[in-house]
Amino acid sequence: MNITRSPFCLLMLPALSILNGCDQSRNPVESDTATFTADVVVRSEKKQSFAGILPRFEWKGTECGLTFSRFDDISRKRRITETNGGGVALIDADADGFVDVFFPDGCRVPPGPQEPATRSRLLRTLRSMAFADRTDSAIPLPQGFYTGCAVGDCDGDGFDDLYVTALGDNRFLRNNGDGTFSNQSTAFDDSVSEWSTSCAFADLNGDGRLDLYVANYLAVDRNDPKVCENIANPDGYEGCSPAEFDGVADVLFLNTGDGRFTNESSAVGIDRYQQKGLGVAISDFDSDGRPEIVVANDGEANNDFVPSAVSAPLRYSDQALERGTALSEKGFAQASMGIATGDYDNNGTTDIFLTHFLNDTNTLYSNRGAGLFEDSTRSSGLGAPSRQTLGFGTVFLDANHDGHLDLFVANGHVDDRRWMSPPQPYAMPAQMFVGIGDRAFADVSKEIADQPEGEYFRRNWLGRGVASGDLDRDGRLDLAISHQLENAAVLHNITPVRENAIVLKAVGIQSNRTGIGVRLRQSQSKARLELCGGQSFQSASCLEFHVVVNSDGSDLVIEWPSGQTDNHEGVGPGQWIAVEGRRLFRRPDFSSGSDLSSGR
Amino acid sequence: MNLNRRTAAFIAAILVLMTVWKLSRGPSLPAGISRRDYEIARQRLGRTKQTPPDHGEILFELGERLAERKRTEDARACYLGIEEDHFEYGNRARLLAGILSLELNQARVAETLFRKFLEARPAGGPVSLSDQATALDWLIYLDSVELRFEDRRRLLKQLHQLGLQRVSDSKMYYFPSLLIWNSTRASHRLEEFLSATPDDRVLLTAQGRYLMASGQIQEAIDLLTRLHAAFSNEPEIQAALVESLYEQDDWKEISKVFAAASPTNSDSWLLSLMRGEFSIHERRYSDAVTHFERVIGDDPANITAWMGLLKVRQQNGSGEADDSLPLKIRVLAEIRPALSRVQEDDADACEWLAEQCRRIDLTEAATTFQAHSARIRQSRELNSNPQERAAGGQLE
Repeated sequence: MNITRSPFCLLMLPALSILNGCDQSRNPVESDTATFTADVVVRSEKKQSFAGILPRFEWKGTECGLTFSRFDDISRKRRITETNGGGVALIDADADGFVDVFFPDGCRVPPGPQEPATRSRLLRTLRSMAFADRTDSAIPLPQGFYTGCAVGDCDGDGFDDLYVTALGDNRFLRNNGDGTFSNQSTAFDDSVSEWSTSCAFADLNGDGRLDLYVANYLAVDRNDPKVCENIANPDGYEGCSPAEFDGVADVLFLNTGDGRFTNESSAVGIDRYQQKGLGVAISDFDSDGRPEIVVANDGEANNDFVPSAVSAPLRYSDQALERGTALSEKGFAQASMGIATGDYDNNGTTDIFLTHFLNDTNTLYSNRGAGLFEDSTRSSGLGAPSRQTLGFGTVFLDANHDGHLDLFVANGHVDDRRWMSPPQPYAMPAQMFVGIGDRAFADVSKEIADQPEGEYFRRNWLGRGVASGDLDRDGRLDLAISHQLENAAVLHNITPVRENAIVLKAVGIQSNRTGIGVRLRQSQSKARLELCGGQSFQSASCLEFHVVVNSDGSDLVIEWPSGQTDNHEGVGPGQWIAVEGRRLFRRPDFSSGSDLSSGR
Repeated sequence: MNLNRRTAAFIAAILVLMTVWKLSRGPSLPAGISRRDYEIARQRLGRTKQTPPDHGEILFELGERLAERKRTEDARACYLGIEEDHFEYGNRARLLAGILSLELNQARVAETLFRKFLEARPAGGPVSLSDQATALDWLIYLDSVELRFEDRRRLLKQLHQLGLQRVSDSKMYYFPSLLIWNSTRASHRLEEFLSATPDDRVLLTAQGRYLMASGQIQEAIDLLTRLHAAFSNEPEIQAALVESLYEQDDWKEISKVFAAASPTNSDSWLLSLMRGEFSIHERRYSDAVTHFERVIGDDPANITAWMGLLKVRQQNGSGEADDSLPLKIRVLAEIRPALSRVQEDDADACEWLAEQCRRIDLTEAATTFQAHSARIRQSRELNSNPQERAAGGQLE
């Protein structure tokens, strides 16, 4: 028997499992270990009833016209470009009140000569959760490997525009006002040809116009990404760790107001940080009137870019460590992917939830005021259920209308490691956590899966992007989810709830027209909602407030980024539009009237 | 007289028969080893050796053959049948038996054998540095699977003192708390060990920690609570139990454990960390600082302890204005994910790590990684220019 000092790749040693050594009589050396009789570990079944607060979702797929299946050119070489998939955007493309769905698509890497101009899809939402493909007539995207998206009315013409990130040149699609878009990427003085992921619109300099932040990920050769060989894998490769690549600085564009955007990354100090951005959320976390930018970085400390004082020229410094969002409470830089923001503890400040890798927890940072955060993962109950998942897109939503924000997480591994011993899960079930008050959540994924309509939660997915919005205008928030290797899905919220919610679209006049940065609270409550830029993973949720109110009406306070505060008394459940400085307008009754689907 | 003579003749005959039987039977063999196998090994060895092989040599030869044939338990029995004072194989047989014990998932037996090998008997044959390193490697491996990081640190120190450290050893030595311990493979290996010795409390304690790390907190707490009831004075079990309770944010139960266990010098790093967190929870900030500083004293790269100090400073409102604290945390946070890039043959990565260590006053670590970097460069130079080196040698 040769003894060689093995290359000590600790714990990578193959399992030496000849299980015939239990005959103690043949043990030549007595163990001096004290004995302890280990009973079989009994799973503690703490049955908790979720009756009345269990959200219910019905899976909508191809039968409803939701036919999108993303192409990532997944090969056996496990290139890192194949791992992230794409996001999903909810955008009312034709301003008819129904939120449509956009999915960015990939292409061959490197692009093949026969590539179609686009595979990305714009699906118009019809009545009763049906979708119609309007891509060909509406989306003029050239060939590209598209990843993420942001939605905002950049020119204030009342129609939402679309920014699409890519592994390669990003694109800007300006809404023509008739449900179609023009490729006006040249409006940006820099096409950002890096590997961009999430992006977010927000008014960063307080001039009432939407600016744009683009998170960039890794420096890769986009035509020939580095691969990592591993002979132990039957494919001969394994997914390279992001640690194998350098990070890339993010990009910040300011809206000049004349239809153009200029890259101001250097001027504002963003370009100093060459990190591995995957998620981004923009919100005024410290309530000082100027929004901060939180970037979820993969395997590196997250950023919390805090702007200079309002009176000074815009310049950012990263204060994530000081403010508490850089690392987990253990001091670890986690593999951050998606971001959800919301006031989960109803204390009037916006909190942050980040999704992470397998064998690690997702992390909840509670905003304790003034933009200072504390890691509340353990106390919230969100830690343990996330240790065996790898999370991507995530959103807060009050799915069951109980006044507590709930949380949805799309899961799925980035690398197929089922060949390993023991194997790691590849596709994974999505998770839903309901807010149960007292700053805590309960994982109800299994209970939802047990419902007759819970098939989506019974299956495993490579979940990536997630966006929320009231797609059928019934007052309940639905979810759109993008996957890898499977069709995209919409989860139709069919939770039996009282009609006690308002869905409110904010239209800025002095402030940006999309209402990003607007805050809403009920006068009797401390809880405060904010329409944040970005969030989730490479995705854009519908920018509307969804809040549970008294059935006989609640008094609403709306704070606009311009400083304007509007008070609206006795606002009852329903669909509303708030115009800055004016009264509320009730939207048309979507439950009756002409069949919109036939005329569109 | 006749009777006596007959009796004596009978006894003599018995004795002769016994001697013949004993001689024909040969030395006693380990369980599972047939006389035929033994004889074949003896003959094979006899053909290659000038002198007749002794019992120990034959068993060693046989052990090698059986190990090749995957008759692991029998092979180990052969090695263990060799006397510890055997002039050539006495020590080495312990090492090989230890390795085979690991294959048989008998962690504690393996550990005992490796330790016995490292305490090598002078009469038991030569012990090469390479074999010492191998034994240390396997012990380090065991400690890693069993999450015994303090024990592992002592072994790594030994490796460094012997000058046998590789880059991976130095990473484990200087950054024990930055490397991921809850890997699926380690947990799987532990389960294999437990399958052989299900009552081993060291393994069970580690199992509790793996359960906790995989999100099965209640299962972890159940197991560790039972262990704690049986071995209430074991600091490792206290630490693991408190860690699980901490994950569940159960301060009430934590306080019960700590009420019965005052801090001692034998507290593990994990227990001290937990005491620090508990002190913060109870707003006993100076106690918290004491606990965290104790951890840092042993493991200066323990970012969780540094974070604890930062938390104390933030919550206490005042505290010492140690400006190096955020820098230390920031740099350690950068180092942690980058450690996977610091590989055995990467001089630049070692250089980078040395530089980071210098930034936060980890002087000894900086020196070690700088030395790794120099060694790698030198070896690369030697390999890339053999002719030049040879020519240079002639000039000297």
